[in-house]
Amino acid sequence: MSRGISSAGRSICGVEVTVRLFAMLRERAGASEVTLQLPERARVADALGELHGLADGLPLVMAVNREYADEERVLDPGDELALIPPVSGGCSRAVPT
Amino acid sequence: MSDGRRDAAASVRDLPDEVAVAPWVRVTAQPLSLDELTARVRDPRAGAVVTFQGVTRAVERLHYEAYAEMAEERVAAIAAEGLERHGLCAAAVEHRVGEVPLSEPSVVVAVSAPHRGEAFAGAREIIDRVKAEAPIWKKEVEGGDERWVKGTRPR
Repeated sequence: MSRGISSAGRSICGVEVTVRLFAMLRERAGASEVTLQLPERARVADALGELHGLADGLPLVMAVNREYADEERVLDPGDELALIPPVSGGCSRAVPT
Repeated sequence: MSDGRRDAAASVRDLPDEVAVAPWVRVTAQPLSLDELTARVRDPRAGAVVTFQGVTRAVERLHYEAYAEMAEERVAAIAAEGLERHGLCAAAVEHRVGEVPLSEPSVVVAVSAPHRGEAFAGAREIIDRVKAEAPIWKKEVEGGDERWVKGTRPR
């Protein structure tokens, strides 16, 4: 699944980023990763916008190149953006939220 | 005291106060061994070893999924910070992914320290932070039913 961007037809000089999806997001999307073409200087928030509501209703945290990052972070070509739904590692059955 | 024992005592005294030993961290699909993990934190300066196992309870099995590369980096950073903050001698953490049947461990933590106070505190901090910050998810599987466990937002 790959979506280009159509901002004024300037899809040629942009950045390509890989988006990693996990758990319920991976199941929703039917893919564990997608590639996005974004305009130069695109931010994490722009990448989320391109995913067309995939993450609606989930309190997401993002990571860029395996470090937690906020939505204002500017993406560079080749960056790996990960959408991280609420985590539940460890042992207990029910994690209080 | 024999020469051999004197040598051993001298070598312990000669250990530097702070040795920057990188914690052992692994995310694996294999069953976890507490014995192997405990062996990884053996240290001649340590008078206390604390271990923790988180095990599947109340359901047939849990299915764990991880962003493995980032989870290993996050857990390594958490363990290194615990080591530093609590003056631990060594720390080791392993998390299993894939199916973890009832009563088997999904996560194991072992730490060693000169005394039990810092060993308990260090192990407690490491497991609490791993659960809250590592990008790992679990799904309960019971009969034909599956559901993702509601988690916490990292950080």
